Amino acid sequence: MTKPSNPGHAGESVHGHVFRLLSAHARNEGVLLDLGCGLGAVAASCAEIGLDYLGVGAEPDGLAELAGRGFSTAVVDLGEQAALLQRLEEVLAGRSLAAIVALDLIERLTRPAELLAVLGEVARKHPGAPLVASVANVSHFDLAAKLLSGRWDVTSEGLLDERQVSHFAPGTFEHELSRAGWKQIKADDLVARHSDQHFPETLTALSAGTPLHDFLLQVREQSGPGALVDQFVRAYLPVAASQLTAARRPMTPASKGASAPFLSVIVRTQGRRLIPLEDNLTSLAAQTNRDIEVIICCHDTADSDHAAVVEVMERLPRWLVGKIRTIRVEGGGRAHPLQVGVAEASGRYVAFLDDDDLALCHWVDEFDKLVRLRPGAVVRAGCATHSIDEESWECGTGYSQIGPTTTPYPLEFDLVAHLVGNRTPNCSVAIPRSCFTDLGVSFDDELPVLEDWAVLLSASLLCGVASTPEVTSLYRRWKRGYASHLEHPEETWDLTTWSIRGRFDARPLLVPPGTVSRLTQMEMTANTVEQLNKDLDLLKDALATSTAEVADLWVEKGQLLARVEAAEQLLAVAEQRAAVAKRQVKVAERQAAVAEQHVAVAEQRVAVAEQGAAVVTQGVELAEQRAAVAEQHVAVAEQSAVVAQQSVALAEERVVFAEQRVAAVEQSVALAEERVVFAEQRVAAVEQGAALAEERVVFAEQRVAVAEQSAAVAQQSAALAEERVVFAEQRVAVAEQHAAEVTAIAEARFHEFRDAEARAKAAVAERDAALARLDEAVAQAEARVRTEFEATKSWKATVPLRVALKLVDAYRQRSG
Amino acid sequence: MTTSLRVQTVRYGRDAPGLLAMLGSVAAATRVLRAGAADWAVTVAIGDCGGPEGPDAVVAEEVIAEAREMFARADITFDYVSFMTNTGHGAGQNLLANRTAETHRTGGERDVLVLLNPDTYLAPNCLATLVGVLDDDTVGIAEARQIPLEHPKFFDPVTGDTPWASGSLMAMRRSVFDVLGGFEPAFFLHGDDVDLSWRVRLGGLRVRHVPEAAVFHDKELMVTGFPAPSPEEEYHVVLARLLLGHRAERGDFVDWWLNWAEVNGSELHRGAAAEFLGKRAEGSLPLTYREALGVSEEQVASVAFFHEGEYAEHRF
Repeated sequence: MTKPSNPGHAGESVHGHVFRLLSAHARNEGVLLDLGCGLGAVAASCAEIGLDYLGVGAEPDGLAELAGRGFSTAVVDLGEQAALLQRLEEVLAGRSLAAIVALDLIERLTRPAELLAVLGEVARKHPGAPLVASVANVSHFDLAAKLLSGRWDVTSEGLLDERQVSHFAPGTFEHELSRAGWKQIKADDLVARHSDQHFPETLTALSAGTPLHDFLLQVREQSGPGALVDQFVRAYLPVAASQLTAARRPMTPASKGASAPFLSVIVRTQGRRLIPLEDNLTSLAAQTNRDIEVIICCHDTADSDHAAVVEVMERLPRWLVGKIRTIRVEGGGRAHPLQVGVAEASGRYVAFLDDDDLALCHWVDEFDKLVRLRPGAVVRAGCATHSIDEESWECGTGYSQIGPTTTPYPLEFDLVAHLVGNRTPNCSVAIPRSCFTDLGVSFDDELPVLEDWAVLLSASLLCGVASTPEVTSLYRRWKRGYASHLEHPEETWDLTTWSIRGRFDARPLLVPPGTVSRLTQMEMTANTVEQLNKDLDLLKDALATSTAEVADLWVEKGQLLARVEAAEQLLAVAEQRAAVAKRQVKVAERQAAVAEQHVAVAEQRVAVAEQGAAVVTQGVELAEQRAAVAEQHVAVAEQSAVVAQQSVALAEERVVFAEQRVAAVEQSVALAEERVVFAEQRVAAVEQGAALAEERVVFAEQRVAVAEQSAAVAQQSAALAEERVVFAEQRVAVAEQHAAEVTAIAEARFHEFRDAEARAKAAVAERDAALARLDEAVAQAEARVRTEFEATKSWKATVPLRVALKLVDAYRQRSG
Repeated sequence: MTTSLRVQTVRYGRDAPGLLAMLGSVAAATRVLRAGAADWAVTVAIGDCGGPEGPDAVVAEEVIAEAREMFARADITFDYVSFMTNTGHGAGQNLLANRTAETHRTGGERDVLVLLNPDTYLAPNCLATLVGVLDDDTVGIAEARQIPLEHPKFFDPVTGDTPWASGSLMAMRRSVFDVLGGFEPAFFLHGDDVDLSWRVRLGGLRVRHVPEAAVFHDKELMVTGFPAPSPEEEYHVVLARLLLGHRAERGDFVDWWLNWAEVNGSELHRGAAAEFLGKRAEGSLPLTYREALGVSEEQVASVAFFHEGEYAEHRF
């Protein structure tokens, strides 16, 4: 395959790095031995540092070309290792060796350690002469990404040179040189962001900025050094012959771990609180599962305090004393002792306790059970908490519990919730040690607090989490004194929380199965909340409108009340006027009575006049005239009476009218009151509407809470179902094995039965034949006896014969 | 002069690994004790009541053999007895104490008896600290501090005086135990420690909480953070309160619990109340403190504290 151009380290070459190493570490004079020299890439620069160049190799064309350029060369078959030492000494011909150079050579050998061992012998004879070697790094990210994409592109040269037969990653390269007796003195590796294997450009795993590329690069970089090293370029010196070990074995699958404990427990202490530490260690001594080691990391601990910790440790039961040790850790922040403890740990899992934490008896055992169910996962159990406080008693100081025990932390692990904030005390998880040794997870000493949260997130994103709600530990909070939650202000916690969130927000994450459901649920919940917020806004608007309406109605009510008041005033006026009218009627009536009195007086005068006519005979005419006058008076009086009656009628009509106006005013008042009542009803209705709106808000919040609870229950059910499936599969496997064993036993017993049956039949046949023979013998004996009996004359002589016949009869009865 | 220290526990259904772990912690604590004064003759005694399967569900022979070997190495006398019946806690402890009256005592005034539950685990300095506290002749019982969950009952932060000592681990001079006649056997599972503590105090001695001596008392916590009670505990927690109320002649307290069992209690609680009422009807309840000890009503009232269903003031 044609190798494309390599923009990654344009302008930089392996030879420049080699030259730097030679300038710094080669001896000042002598021969530079260039093994597998090819076209002698370093030959020209050799003279610059005052060394004699000698190119050796097995390719005549290259050597001839070098010789043509005036450089010394020699034919040496590096594959002939039996004679190699002698041959190299021949070509050196007693000259001093300044350095050995092996560029792109080691990876082309099937057993490079053997050549390296010979070179070591050569170099030891010239003290100070280094080996400068360059080797391709097959753990470069480009190759890793391409392998994951199913590609392994061998090229004519470069990282996957077609002549390579050995392949090296940082660890294997170091191991190979070390076992051949070389000690590194300087590394000047060639780093290339893009190696010659960075093709095709369209491969997603190679495209920076894609989540796949960024995630894989992150994993590779965290997993160890060399992610972007193209060539290892390093200088070595041979170790003294006496330091060569016999264990020059090639790398084998790691045996470390076979005898390692299940759990390394890192106990972090400053040695200041001895009683809580003693309680902590007692709780470890009480563990039902003892497959542990305990490393007490004494951080910045005074000598006297450390001695006290050791004394506490030595008092523990013997089984634990053999598994516990202290490490003194100086400097650094809270995370430092944890990191040192992890580096010292040998268990398959690592768990962490602060000296004031307590484990319940089954703390280790529950972790162990979870690991058996989900090997490789971060394991997490339930955790309880209570408050404690320093105390002084008559005979010393200590501490005591000052509050009830509660379980405020979620009993199941939820990654999404943990990305927002820490919900897991450090004492309730155990993390695969491989996370730290192979995946680059580490406690960040730059973090003032929450270093455990950052580690839990890193580990859980890579390993997943297996949880149990079983409470197995106690995280205790001090009321006063030294404690992280008291030592650091609230702002530090907030800033650190945001900082850690930012770190994880900036990188692509590998999320576990179920995350889509979780996010869907969150999105739906968010939508619901959004809708409820909108409803709430609408209801608030409606409430505002109603409030305004209520205010208007109150104004209207005021106006109506004013009108009612005015009407009442009018009514009062009308009533006054009616009273006046009544008084006028009474006056009219009195006038009418006066008129009637006048009529009566007139009649009396008529009567007087008639009496005068009778008395005064002479003046009839006068009398008649006076009568006529009188009649006229009467007429006038009658007219007055009529007028008086009309006045009475008029007064009555005015009374009626006044009463009608009173009634009208009363109706107005009633109407006004009805409108007031109606206004109050509308106010009440609007207030009910507002209360209803508030109830709908509360109901909506309850629906959100219920939705979240349902989600949690669903996740728990899912985890439980997975566990049941695993358990069911195990039971099926056991049942199948049992069935196979039972079948085998049944078949064997069936064969035994058939054999026994055959033997029984043969025995029966044999018995029947024997019985027949016996019958025949008895019959013959009887015949003989009867013959003898009949022939015998003496009765006494027949006695034994009769006895014999009775014996025959007895036999027949028994066998019959 | 040799002083004897006898550690004794009554077992009922405790699993073998836990029992062996507890015994191992006693051996470790004995080492610390002897580092201070080497002339302690130590005996560890187990009274075996069997288990839920029956009185013969005793500890396996190999476990006993392992314990015997461990104690032989530690120069500790080991005394195992199967009662072949479930005696209950207090009666079992009495049997164990009496069983060895002749053979395992020095007869000294300072002989110490340590009574503990089988589901415990001693901190290494536990025995040495408790024994040290008993040097004070005014102290009748020295009680260890329980972890991981401390008992919430009150104790005086200066003197350590506390109303009663928990039977999870208590140490007392043997002479005091003998004078009092040990535990009142009417208490089967619960309350016998409260009763013994009150009688010690009625006798003029102190009951001291010793926070420097820790004992891990194994608890299974429910998801709420509360310990999960067994059915036996559920039953006897009510019966014990009724008996304590009766002994102290506190009819109001007895009636409170009878009413509580009737109104709020479970079937087990009501069963306990029925047992109490049955014994009261037939006159087989234990003697009252006044009858048994000849003390005055005022003296009983000064010791037997009852408040809202509890028999001690709680700190939290």
